[in-house]
Amino acid sequence: MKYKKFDLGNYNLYTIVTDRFKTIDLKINIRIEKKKEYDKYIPMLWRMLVSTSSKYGSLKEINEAAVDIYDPYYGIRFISSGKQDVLSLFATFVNEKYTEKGMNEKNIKFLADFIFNPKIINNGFDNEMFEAKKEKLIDYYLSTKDYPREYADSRFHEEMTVFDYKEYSLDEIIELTRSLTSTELYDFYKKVINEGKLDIFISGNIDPLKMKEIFEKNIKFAGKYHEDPVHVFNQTVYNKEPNIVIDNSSNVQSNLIVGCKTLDMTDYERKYVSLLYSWILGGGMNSLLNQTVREKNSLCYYIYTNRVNLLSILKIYAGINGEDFDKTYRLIKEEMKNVENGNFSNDLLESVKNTYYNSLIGIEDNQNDLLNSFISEVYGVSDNMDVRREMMEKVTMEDIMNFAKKTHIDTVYLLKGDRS
Amino acid sequence: MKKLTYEKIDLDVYTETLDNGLRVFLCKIPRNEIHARMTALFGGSTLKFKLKGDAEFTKVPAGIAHFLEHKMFDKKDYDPLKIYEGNGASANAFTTEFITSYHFTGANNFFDNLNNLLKCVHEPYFTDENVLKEKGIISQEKKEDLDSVYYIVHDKALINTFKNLDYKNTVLGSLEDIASITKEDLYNTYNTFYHPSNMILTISGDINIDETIKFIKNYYSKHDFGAPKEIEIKEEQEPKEVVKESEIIYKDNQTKEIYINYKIKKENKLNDRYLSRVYMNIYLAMKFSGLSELSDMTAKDTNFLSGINARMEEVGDFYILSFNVTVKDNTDKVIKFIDDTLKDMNFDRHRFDLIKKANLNSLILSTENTGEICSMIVNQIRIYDKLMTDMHFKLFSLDFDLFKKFIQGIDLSNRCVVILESKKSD
Repeated sequence: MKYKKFDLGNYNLYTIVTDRFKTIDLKINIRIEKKKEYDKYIPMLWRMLVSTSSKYGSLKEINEAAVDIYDPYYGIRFISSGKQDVLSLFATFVNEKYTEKGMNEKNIKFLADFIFNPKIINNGFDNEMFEAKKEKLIDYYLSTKDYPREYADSRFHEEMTVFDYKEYSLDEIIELTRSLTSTELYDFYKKVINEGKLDIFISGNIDPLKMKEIFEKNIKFAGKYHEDPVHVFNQTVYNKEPNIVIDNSSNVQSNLIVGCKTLDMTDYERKYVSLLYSWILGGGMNSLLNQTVREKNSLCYYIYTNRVNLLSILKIYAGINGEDFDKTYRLIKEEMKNVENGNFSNDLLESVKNTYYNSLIGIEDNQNDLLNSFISEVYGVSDNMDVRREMMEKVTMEDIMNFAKKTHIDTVYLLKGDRS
Repeated sequence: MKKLTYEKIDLDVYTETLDNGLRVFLCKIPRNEIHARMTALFGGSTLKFKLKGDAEFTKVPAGIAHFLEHKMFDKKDYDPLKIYEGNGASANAFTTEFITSYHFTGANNFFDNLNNLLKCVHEPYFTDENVLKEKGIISQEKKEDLDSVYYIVHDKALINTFKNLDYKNTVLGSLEDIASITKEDLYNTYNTFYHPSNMILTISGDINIDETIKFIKNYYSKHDFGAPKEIEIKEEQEPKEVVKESEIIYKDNQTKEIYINYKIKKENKLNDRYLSRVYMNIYLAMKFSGLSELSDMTAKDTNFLSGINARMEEVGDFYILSFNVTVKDNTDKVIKFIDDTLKDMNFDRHRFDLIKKANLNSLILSTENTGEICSMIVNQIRIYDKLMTDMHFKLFSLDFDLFKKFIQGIDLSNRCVVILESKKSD
């Protein structure tokens, strides 16, 4: 595995050379600082970029052009990364060694055009597609209730204040989307290009210098060079008396989300201790929550923790019967207390560490994981792989107990089902 | 072991059938991790069976294969998942209509993990208590489906499509089925279907072929499973007509969900099951993929809240073409549109060539991942009873005229439609 960085003036190109795959993976990432007012543009922007083209007249033509260059798999999304939102084009295509000479460049050009050469008419995005996408997005928001886990998550985020502002409610975001114009969206696109930090990552059995040449030739990026932005957002307050919100629904199952905040998280805790805490509490089948809530008490099929370390929060998800809420919540609190008091086995600690070491080895088996791992190093949110293993070995039971003491339940949300 | 090579895609598979009937497939590819998968050829659509020589067929509740999958992780004095986790490996299992698979992925302690996998599938431990405990867990798994708009229409469409085939039952079974399963049911199905002769072991990744087969043979030399068993599945005669052509379900939903099954009796036009399946899938891609006019239509027509998802499944003597779409309104118009599109027998040669190219590309992508390689092998053994090492050649040689001949005249008259309407139920 050989890594190389090219400074191409207003952006950086990173290449990873590996001969383990028949495919090439590409990511074009533009980071902008997360702001509440951007939330109305973000879902529309990636939808427009991925479904229109300045070169091709229709989606069918785009898809035909893709198959003509051996059908790259691709998509565009905004990915939340702590205090940053990342406009990300991700793609996998078959290396030209397995298709035809020249296909690598054709794929890169085809894919980069989605980001750098969108279809613009009269200073706005293609209005016909824009209006259709907007209406569909509003309908998507309106239909969130039909998908209980998604709806519960959306309601949970309305209730728990994560940033230094309260996120838009579903009703607010619907109204803001309704009033959005294709010109305003294009202005936002220009803001992302001008103010965002662009980095390009590519891995596979490639010649780095040839890649540099291809990107220099095919990418005309108008933005400025920016310093690396900060991703970490620290939590400073939490609800000492947890905010418990219960909504009724006509669903069969009830969806429970317990949201926690960790105060004063150190860099070491963020990168290492929080992961082990999360896995011990609700990671694999042998985690405390799985053993207690699922295996011993048969209260659920799924219960797991989801750690967002860059925001210092952790969420616990479970699907239960509505009448079991009190019991489940009590058991969750007991297990959190058990971690705090060190009431978990050293075997469990060692096995989650082993899972982590194994995941480090597994990263090299999947180009997408490999790229993501490397990107997290470039973004400064992870150490390199050698350091990661070394540091993880140092984590003790006391570190986890101390971390648990700083982790507090802030908000509890239950979407209660009452249909039998 | 016998070495088989998949042409044009740099993939070698070593295979051997052990004395007890277990079929083993080993595939070395340059990865750090190893994925191993033990598959029983027994899934959610088999409910009536007997061993050769038995007088009567046994009938078990729907959901039994899936319940069995859960229970195989319960042991008297050890926990297979703890062993995997202790070795840093990830492990899981899944059940489909046709198979049950147990698998792990890990970079270290491979033989310990493999030993654990083999023990896990060959050492049943069912008690009244642990069966009762599992009912609560699986009921919650089922309840999630009962709230899913997709599963509500999908499950109803199965019941309305098939009269006699047990495929009409969902893999999880109903809440009543789950509640009715007993320890005896589990032992009965286990003893019938989990003999090595009804199983496939596939391993892919950073393996030493010789050492791995040696280890597997050594394991089985210490465990006597008796002679391979001959299983008889009760064959039900299935009419070509669907049970119910149309049904509307009411739920307080914001959107409307449509599910359509076309039930097509197979005609042996090609005498090549692989090609027949490929041509049926190309038929759907020609009409409903991103390469069809539909991609722009569903993107711009605001009535469509999803694309039209089309898939093909082979069930007994039938091809089932299934369509699922979420819309705001005008369900009749959408259903007619799908019907008209499917029945339009005009095909474009250029589009056919593009789909052919996309299929060849997918073939290369499918060999990049250890898990996908195991899936490919299991599917080929289940469906064709052999590895399709000439897949690349077959896909490369697909013929437009033969395709048209195969598709034209297909009987699309047996159709079942289920609609989830956005109204309050009574």
